Amino acid sequence: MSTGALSQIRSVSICGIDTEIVTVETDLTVGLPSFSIVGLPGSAVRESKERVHAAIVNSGYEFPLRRITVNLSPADLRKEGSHLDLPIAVGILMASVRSKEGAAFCPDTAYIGELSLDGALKRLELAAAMALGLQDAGIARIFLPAANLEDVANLPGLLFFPAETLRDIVSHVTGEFPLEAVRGRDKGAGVGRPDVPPTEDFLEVKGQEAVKRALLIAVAGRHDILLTGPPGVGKSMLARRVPGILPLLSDAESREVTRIHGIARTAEGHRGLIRERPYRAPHHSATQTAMIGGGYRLAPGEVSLAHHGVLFLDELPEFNRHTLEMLRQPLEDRFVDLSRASLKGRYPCDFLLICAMNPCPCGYFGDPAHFCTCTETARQRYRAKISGPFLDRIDIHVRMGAVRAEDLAPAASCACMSSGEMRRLTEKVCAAQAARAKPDFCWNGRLDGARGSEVCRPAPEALRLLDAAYTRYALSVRARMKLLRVARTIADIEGSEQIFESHMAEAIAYRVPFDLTD
Amino acid sequence: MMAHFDSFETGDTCYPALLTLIADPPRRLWYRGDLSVLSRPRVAIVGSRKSTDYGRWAAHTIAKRLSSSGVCVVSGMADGIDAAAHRGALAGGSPTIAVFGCGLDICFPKSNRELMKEIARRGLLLSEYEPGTRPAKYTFPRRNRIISGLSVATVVAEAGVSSGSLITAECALEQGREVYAVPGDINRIGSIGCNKLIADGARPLVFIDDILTDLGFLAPPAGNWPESLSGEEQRALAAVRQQGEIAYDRLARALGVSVGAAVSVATVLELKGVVHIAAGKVFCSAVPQR
Repeated sequence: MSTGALSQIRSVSICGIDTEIVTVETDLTVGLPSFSIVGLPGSAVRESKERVHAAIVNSGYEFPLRRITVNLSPADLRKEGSHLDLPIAVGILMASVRSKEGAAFCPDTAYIGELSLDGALKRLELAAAMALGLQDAGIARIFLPAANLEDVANLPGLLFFPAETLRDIVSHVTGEFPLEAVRGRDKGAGVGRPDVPPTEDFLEVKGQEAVKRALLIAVAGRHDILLTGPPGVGKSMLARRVPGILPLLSDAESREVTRIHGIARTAEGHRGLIRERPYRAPHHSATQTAMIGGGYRLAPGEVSLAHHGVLFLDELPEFNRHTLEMLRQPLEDRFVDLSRASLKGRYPCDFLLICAMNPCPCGYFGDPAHFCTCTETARQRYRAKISGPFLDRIDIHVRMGAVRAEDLAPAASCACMSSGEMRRLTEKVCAAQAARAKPDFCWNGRLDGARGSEVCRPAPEALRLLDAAYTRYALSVRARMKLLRVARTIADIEGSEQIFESHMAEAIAYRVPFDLTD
Repeated sequence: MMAHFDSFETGDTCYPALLTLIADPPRRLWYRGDLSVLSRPRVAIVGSRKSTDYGRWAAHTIAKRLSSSGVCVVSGMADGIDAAAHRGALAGGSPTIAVFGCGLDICFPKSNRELMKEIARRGLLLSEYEPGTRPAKYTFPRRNRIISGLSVATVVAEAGVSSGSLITAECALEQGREVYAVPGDINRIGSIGCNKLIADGARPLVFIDDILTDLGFLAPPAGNWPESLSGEEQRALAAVRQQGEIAYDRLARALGVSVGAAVSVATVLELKGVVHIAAGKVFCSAVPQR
């Protein structure tokens, strides 16, 4: 019989916003009793030595008096987190058992869990994200703390073995008391969404139908939008109601969003798969790191937390100018490459940008009822905070005016659209875009180049109108493409295959206004 | 290093004859730009610095109309109405004159630097103050007499109760020149000065072409108006005309169509040049026929 015994166990580690499969290799050899963990363990992993030792002994097993080496492979990747307690403990026990009878290595089974000193398994915060990462790597059987079952129970295609204690797992492995396997099932799919509460309904917003229409177009085709208007006309009120008209996430998007929010620990209130699109509204004091991502753990920023959802920037010019300029590249590429000394990562950030601002520092420039008290220089300085290239990346510009008293009357609100109607339209446009998905889904707002010209084919009269606008307003080629994209979405809302004159005319109304660029 | 500026004096051939007729003509005028501009007929357009979209629209439109008829627009290059008038004049194709309340080497206000360059290139900058003279409180009312003195008529596009443009109107009256005022909303404090001018006897500028007819400037036929309008477009235009300015929501209700359709028809009207869209509202911009 050989003097050494070896076991291998699968687990997982979080790396930036990605997950990486970790193999916990445990080797027991004859020698002076010692216990060492190698493979770049973080401080929580290094401390797990003490927890594992106590948990094994307190569960009534013998801690092998041998020279124990635990290697966390791949060895050059830094591992953080207490969830490696369980695989390390199981690895040690398996290796010591193996020296007698041998336990097979199961490459499709993983263990995650934090041990308490008495051998109980504690709830993990990142269980859902880890389970998704394991599944992506082809691992379908997961041992985890019973308290985490509700976090993962709606992830389809996975088999879970929830356990209360280390003993439960050992008795399962030995065949004494097999654990009950739970199959992940997506109960949320197919169930209709709850209705928007009346206080969050677009019906509440009076006299701003034109702006609601623009927001509908923005959401339906994912066109970034800027609302400019005096204080109190309802910019923030409108933006807050946008989540109610967003179409649901697709399965693949849902997995991605769940993973990002799981790792960033921003999924509060959510158990398991997140189906609703995220809505992020950072305050204008947000730092560059908070916005783009970074820090020592390379945490995702607001742009990535808004991935597949909405990023709302209220009081746009109050944001630090550099922070705004840093948004330019993510707005173009839809991902950010973060790079720090120890970590690197590509973070996705495909979001719908909604911005709101006043036309000038006092807020009343162009308002008939108030006098703007700003000097021309102050106004120019205010507008200059938003650079031309940034404005150029925004598809829809809306100038909001004050609401007149008669528009608030009940008689005026009969033509008012509710969130329900608006959501039906956004879902319809989503379906139209999915029908054109060759080879993959592309929002109208992201159409460009050859694909853009193929999908956005205007009728002859619409083209004539576009050319007239191109000359009249001295538009750039990029701006022309933007008009075509917006017109495509308007045609989709109206249920038209082709882009007609009226669709094009409406799109032209949403171009960059003269008073933002002069 | 100080830039060199030329000047001319009373008695020089280039000194505008109209200016010699006022009570205290400036003895010397510094200039930058093209002096041949002074051979054109001139009309002053002035108004408040604090202005509304309506006032700037009016100044811009009147200036453009005059300029496209060959009239040179004179103003003070201040923020607001003055700047809008200069821009309108440049858009109309004829040169424009800006009269400064400081030395010509100083751009005041600074925000108009680009405009100043453009006027120097395509028009004329004038000042009675020596280069290097800083702007002061008293220099602006003084230069106003030159603005009105250079012009056969003065148009006040928009003025509040204490606007400096009222001083220009007063100068024009003392100099025996015609004064026009653009009527404004009687609820708006920014229009009180103009409306009071009308009450005191200034000519209300109700149709822009009036000023061309009154002063005998021959107007070439207006640009692309009227272009054939569809039934829907005509109804929309009628709704805009009735209100003067109208938000998309109200336009949609007036026409009984969806708000998307209203946005679309307004854009077509703007492309045809009969309305003007700003601050989320549709304004009437065509010169109505009498």
